Amino acid sequence: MFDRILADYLVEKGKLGPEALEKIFELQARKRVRLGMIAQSENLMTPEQIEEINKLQSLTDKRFGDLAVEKGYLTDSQVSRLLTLQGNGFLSFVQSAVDLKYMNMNDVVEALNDFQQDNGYTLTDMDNLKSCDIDRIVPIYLYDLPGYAKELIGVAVRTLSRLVDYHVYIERPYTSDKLVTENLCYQASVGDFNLLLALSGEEPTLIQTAIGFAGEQYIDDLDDALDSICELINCINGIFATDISHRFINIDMLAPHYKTGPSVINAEDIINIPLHLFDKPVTLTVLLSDNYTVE
Amino acid sequence: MGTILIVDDSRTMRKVLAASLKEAGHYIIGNAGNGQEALDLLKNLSPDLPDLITLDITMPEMDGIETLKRIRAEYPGQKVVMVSAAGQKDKIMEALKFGAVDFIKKPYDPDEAMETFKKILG
Repeated sequence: MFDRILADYLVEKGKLGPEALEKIFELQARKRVRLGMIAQSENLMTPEQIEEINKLQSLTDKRFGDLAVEKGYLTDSQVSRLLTLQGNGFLSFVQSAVDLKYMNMNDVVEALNDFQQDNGYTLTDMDNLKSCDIDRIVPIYLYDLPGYAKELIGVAVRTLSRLVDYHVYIERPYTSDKLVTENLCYQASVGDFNLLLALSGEEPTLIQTAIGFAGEQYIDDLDDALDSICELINCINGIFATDISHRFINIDMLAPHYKTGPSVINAEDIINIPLHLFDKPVTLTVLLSDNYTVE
Repeated sequence: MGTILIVDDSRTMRKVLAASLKEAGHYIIGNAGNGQEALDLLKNLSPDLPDLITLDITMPEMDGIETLKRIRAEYPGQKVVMVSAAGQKDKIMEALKFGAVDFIKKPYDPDEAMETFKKILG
């Protein structure tokens, strides 16, 4: 995730151009291998075990390594070693930028210092960012949000990373009393507390998101895409509902809806999280209330 | 192999499930986007009812549980499999109490779903 965040920063500061960035990402993608493939090549897991864990991942909010440990296929130390072998997105981004001679290491150090200063991050924040671990990065962006919103957004980002785009990344959230957007997919949940979860954005990005989730053969047009994203939201809310039910907090998900074209949500304290899927912006919206209108 | 009616408000999910079922040799007798549509369709099909109905729990207007109750009241022998997202354990328990024979989870795991259908339809 931090590779994408840093890349945006470097483009914004004029240190890298879009074309250079594209080439860096291409090289980086060629180097990245899935954890399951590494586990198989190290003879630690069978293809059947890997398939089983991949399936479980679509139903739970857990990482491949954690599930493999739970199932007894890997130990914690084996997972740590595999993660090292897999590499870190930030490091592979830097390595690719240096290999392609768009930057040297001094440029990288300087850029990281500027990034830290410009954003007001601590050294601990920077360590967490550089880890490229979603669980360590997301809280940096969400520290001042209410507990349930923080938890739900964490589930959403992890689920999007697993089921749609591994390179999903977030920006700082902002609150508003009105969200003016387009192509809005949303689902309300009611119970011990009420909430609304929504995803919106431009047509091409949402179509790509839906294809990532459901498969190209099922997405013919924008309506298919939004319909499919409603199911994705249902899936995120379902995982969140399961998590909180372990603490005896219960919510029921209502049927999701979507609206094509310009859309507006009116409510107090709407939490908007700018997300990037396939390097393009979408907005994830959370509202901890049932007092809203959609136009 | 059997005849199956798919009830789900998501047309994409209907397509995804239908593709797997067809591949496994089943025949899709119809699709419905909500509970009322399903009841209307069953009325038209009767007495040639499907071997199995897949029924999504979360739907607008008439949800899966209400639809299940009405189907079971009207057609007591009708086999129904519920379709649920994670986090709907209570709803699944309720559906089983009202006569659903089993449930499958969304997002679909085609192998797991087909295994469930095979158990029911033989």
